[in-house]
Amino acid sequence: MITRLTGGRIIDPVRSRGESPRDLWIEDGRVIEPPVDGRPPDRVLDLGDGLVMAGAIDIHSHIAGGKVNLGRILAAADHRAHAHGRSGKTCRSGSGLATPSSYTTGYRYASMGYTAVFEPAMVPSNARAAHLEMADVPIVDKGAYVMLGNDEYLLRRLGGGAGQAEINDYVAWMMRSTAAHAVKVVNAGGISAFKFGKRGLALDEPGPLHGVPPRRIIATLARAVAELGVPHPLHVHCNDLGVPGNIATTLATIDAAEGQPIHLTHAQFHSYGAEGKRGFSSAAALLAERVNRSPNVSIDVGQVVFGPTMTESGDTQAQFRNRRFADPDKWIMMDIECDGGCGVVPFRYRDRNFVNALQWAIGLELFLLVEDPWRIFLTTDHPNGGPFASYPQLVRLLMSRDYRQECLAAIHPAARKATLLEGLTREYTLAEIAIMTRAAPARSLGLEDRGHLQPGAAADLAVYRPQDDLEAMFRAPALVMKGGVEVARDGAVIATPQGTTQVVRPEYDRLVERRIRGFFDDHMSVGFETFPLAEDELAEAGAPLEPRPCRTSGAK
Amino acid sequence: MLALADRVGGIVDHSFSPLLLANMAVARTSGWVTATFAEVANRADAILVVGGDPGPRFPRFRERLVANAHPLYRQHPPEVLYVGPREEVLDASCAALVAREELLDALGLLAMLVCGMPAKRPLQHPAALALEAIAARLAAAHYAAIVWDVAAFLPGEAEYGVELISAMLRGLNAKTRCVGLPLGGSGNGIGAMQAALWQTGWPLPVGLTADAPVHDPQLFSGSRRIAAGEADVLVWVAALTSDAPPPGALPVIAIVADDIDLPEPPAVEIRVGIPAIDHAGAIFRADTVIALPLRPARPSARPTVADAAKAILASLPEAS
Repeated sequence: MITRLTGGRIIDPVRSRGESPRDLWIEDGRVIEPPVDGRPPDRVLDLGDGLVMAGAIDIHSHIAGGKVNLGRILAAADHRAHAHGRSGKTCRSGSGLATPSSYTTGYRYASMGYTAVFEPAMVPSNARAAHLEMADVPIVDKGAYVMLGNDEYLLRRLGGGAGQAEINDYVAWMMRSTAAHAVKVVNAGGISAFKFGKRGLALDEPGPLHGVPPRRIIATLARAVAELGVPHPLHVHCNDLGVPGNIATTLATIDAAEGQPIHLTHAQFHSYGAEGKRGFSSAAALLAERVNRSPNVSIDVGQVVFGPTMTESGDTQAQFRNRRFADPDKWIMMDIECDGGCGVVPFRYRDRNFVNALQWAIGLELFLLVEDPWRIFLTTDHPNGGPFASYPQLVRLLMSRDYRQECLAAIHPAARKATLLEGLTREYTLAEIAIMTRAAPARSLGLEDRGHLQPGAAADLAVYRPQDDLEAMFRAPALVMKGGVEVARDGAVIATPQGTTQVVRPEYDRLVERRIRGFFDDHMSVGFETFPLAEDELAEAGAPLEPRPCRTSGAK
Repeated sequence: MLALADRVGGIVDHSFSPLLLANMAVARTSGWVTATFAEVANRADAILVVGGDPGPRFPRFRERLVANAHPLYRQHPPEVLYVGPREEVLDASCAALVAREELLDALGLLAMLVCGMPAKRPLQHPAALALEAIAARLAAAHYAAIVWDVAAFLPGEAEYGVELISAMLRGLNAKTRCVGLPLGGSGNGIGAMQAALWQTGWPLPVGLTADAPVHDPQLFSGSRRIAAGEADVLVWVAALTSDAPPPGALPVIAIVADDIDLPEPPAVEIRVGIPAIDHAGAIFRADTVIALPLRPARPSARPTVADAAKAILASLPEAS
């Protein structure tokens, strides 16, 4: 069936910076060239003067895995306040804003024009459970980053003198075993150190037992990801999250990558100085300056949004430090299977609290000071900075200086004085929003047929109704299509097709398995044969794999 | 089954959920610190067992978590500590033996000692010396683990007992490391809890009302509803366990494995295969993080429970 979309103004920055009025032709879920043989379309949709963008892609959002269920356990109030019954022909009931249930997650993302979401913190031992959960997130495509860098096997092999090639093979084996799309490192070495009773780990401090400093873990993993040709660079949650003065660690982490591509996630939480009488200041300008002159570096922001939320992180050291700020006063920590951990702490960001207000401003400073929209992505580190449902408000903050000033006037006065925000006049254009939420994440993740609307692209798109209220415009697009299927109209979900699971499966030398098998046999609580997800498991769970190729240029 | 219940406005519960709810209630209201099997097996240098010998219900507990041959971090087998009934004496280096009725008292005193709360000396408790020694060893351990099974508490006492354990875990981690390991999860009760949490936002039992999913352990208790006849129909699912539906006045739709005898003919009988024998699946371990794959052991044409639920869903009149 051929569908022709007429009348829309297409914002497709891969092709051009401006808007272009052109018809879009769709067949079998893909954008096609207008048929030259004069075949008439089977249906025509008039988009009026709608603004058409490719479906949005969230590069970092905690939507599944054990930590989210722990968050749900702690978030009764959130689930009571934000609940909905079954609706329409296909929509399941659900609940939650900060820790939404799986179906609700898919519906809400799709209704906002998102068509792909990446879970950034899959603990290897939790992979099967995380994928089962993601299979119940409808409509959007999903993918997951496997968390390495605190796994006993890697640390002991690094401590034992393994070469880069062996580590590369291990990383590839792990990506395949866990059906991962990319590799993330969280507080390199720190989660492991926490299990030995250490409450922090500096970048050059030897970790317990194996003596490997975080810098070496980051350098080796960044190189492994690059040499394997994994499209997305090593996704780094830096050490010292949330600590005043941590900008030094963050800049040193960029150095640690030794020029390899590196992505710093939720950079807002890592852009803190320790100046001023409160010992807490913005260092966003320092990071932005560094990012601007380092083409190997990209960041996502992890913007703070005022209000209650849940913080869920693999970084047990940081979460254990933050437990004293738990609101309400309850928290869960977990040490996981000699390969990771998680800490879950409910939290409320308050605009009249100096630190929270400055965190909010620091995030916006990063957005406005980093010049290249291809290397900065819109995230709240959902739900750690705030729920993903607040993205439309964030877009408005970026596109309207007046609105920003209005919000700035309401925050803690000392924070207002401590931020550069007042003087930052930049307003994002629609093309820049399309880059940062579509084209750039697609490019960074190696999704060649996503993030744009050229022939061959997936027919994942959102049509926005132009209006003065930018937040309303981005909250409820007039039309959202996933794979050519109309899935939402005016913010309401009307169809719930199943998305795919995006994976990258690097090749490796099978010899490495001999040593890994021995490690599992001696020390682990699941068997070497049981650990990996079988090829057909995800398809049976309802989320078929969509493998993406590794890059060949620059590989070993 | 959750989709089916959502469609018809049903309640979903698991027959083992009463054994998980005390833990769930404490996790929800206070939180805690826990670990998975491999952490305890490789790291714990002291293991405090609360309430009774895990052996009878968890026969591989000792082999897998205490006497494992190649621990990564601990130099010696862990010191086993015990607070529990004297009729279930464990092979422990330090044991506070109490009557089961006195378990909460002993745990309460231990929690005070562990958390450094002031107590009048000398302590007025028959097991005071042992409890003080246990508290000292937990504090001195590099990585202690506290292991319990909710079934070991007297009815009505489990939640308070687990609350005391949670207080100890929070207190001990301020200075050293100590983790909890709640045992349980038979019949894939943990998997049912996990799926309910992610699909509805709530643990079991959950009522899928027209307006919203609602968690209410009393109102939606499956066993209470069955006993009181407070439902239109009981859909009884047993593929992993071999339990026949409990007797009651409700009409029954039985979705059960081949080998289950049904003493009373149900209104509708659907025979299904058994996971890991007839078809694939996944089962969650007690530590909640790890799902193990189940792979079929024989070719089988038997439908799965999910097949049955989908077929029932498909034959219902179109939802409005």
